[in-house]
Amino acid sequence: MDYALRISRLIDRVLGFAARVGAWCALLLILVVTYDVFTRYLGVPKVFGLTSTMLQESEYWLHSFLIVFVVGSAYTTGAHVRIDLVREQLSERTKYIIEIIGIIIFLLPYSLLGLWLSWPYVLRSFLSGEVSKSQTGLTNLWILKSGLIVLFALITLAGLSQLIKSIAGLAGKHLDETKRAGADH
Amino acid sequence: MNIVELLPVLMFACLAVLLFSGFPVAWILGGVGLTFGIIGIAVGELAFIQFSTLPSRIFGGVMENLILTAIPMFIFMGTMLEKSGVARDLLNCLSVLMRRVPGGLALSVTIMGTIFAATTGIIGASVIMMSLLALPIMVERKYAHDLATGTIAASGTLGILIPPSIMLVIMADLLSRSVGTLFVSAIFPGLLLATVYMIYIVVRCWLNPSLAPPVSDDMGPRTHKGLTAMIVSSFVPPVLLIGLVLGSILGGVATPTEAAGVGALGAVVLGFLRLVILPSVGVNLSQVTARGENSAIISESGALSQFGRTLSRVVDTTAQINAMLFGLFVGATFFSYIFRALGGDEVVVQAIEAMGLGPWGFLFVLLGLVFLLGFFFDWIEITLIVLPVFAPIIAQLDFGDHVSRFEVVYWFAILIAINLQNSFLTPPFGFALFYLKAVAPPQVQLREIYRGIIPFVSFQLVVLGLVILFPDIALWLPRVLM
Repeated sequence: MDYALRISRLIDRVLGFAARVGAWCALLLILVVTYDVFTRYLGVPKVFGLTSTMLQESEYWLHSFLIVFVVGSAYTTGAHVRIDLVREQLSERTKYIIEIIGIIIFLLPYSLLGLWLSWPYVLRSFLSGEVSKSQTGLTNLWILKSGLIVLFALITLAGLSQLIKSIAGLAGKHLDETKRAGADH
Repeated sequence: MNIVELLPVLMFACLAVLLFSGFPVAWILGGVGLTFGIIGIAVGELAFIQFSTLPSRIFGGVMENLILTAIPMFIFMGTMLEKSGVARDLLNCLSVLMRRVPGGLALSVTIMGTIFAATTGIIGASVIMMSLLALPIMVERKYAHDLATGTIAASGTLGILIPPSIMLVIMADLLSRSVGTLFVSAIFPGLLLATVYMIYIVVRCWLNPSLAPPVSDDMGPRTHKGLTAMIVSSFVPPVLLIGLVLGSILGGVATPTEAAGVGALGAVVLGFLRLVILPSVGVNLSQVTARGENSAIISESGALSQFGRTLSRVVDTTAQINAMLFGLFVGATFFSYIFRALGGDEVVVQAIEAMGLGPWGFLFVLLGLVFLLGFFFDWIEITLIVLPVFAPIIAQLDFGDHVSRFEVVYWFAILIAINLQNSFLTPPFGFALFYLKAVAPPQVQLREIYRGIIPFVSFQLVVLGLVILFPDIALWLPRVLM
């Protein structure tokens, strides 16, 4: 169990790191939008021959990174919404059991299916050298699309980590991080 | 009707039951979608190949979507204004300005809710923020608890209606309509609601001053100069910023995404002013705040690092809220795709037709449904799960001369938004009330919260009725502006 918990801690560190990277994309996104707006309305040419289309596409690229790098970690930090109405009445033990069942029959099949379907999708984009639909847009669309793989891979990892914590919690290991798995919000 | 035709119905029933397990909604949506997808393949309703279009749906619907990009930036803007203390300064300033008006503190809260509506958006978060900011002060000043809590809950939920609301961005996206137009449509209904709240507060406190003991005159700066300094430093900047963001969208100068980006950067600038520049030029806001906070002199480098920490926290919070929202968005995309593929749309259309409702009947059924759902769910689940199911029907409705065909969708969206406020505030399950109770000081009782909410709920019903009867309240402004 201790060994498993160590794995869970390691996963959480990886997720935490991914989330930090993703989160700062928010600030970058804001800067890009502002830069695009000001150069466009003031009629100032953009640096490096960038076009507005490129900038706007990079905006949803950044937003996608902000999503895919953080969704997994948001599970381990308890940010995803739950319907608490019944849950509040349940014992710790029941909460752990629900978490374990939920992860095994819902989360993992869902995230693994997502991974499995995304892989050929991204590969196709890579092999065909897919570029943006608009002529002046960004190239290498496969990079953006591989965000889907990142998304589902991190969800899978988060699911595994929470599964370990919930099992540990059920076994009576009330470590700080086991509490996070089912108890808090 | 055989079992195969019932699959979509079963799917929804399953979802509804499982949600109450308390497992994260995003994963339940995905899991139920997958399970029924497999059942669908097993009974020959679905072909496996249909599964494989899923990545492209998520990609096209969520990732490659410039409209939704506005959302994290609006969240960022609100979080920044809150965590840097700009929001609290504004509330303090408002309560000083209105210390002689009956119910001044309650009024300040409503005005805050209207101005900051912009930026909070998520009911739980905004009610908690308003409760933490304002409720302790109101309880301390011996405000009647029911008035205080009612005002906070109602003002906190205004945020989903008054633009730039995140909910309206998502609604517009799901209904394939313009965000800007939906924003403009929401302005008059939102302001109408806020105005009614304010009139109620003033009249009630004027009739019975003991409900809201006036704030003592020694609160805030005593000199005119001090007062002006306070207004310039804590009132003007955030109001100007939010006015600018809204104005640029309404004036058609900027898209909501552009306005959100500029607004978010503006919030960073305000935070920097508040945490670094103002202390360094000697304007100490803690002297002008209502409750004497520690006015320890912070060195310049200390102020800078405090700003850095705040920025980092804002970035993290934004990312988490955004991830929560879009985790759900991805799950809901999956769920509704399978629901459609199993013939869910036809089932819903047939069921509505079988009821023989006509457009008006349908309107009331949908509003009733949304009202019930609002007892349990935040707007995030309701708009993401329920709206896509009914969107095709809404677009087909014909209200004759009452509302023109093109405008029906906007009208409907606004009605749903007003109606949602209602259901969040209605006991026994009112969503906002739980959050309020969770952070309220212990002497505030649930009974008082319930009693306080009644007048606000009735105003909402009146406004809902008015917008149903006179669609132009919502639809006139976009016709003129857009």
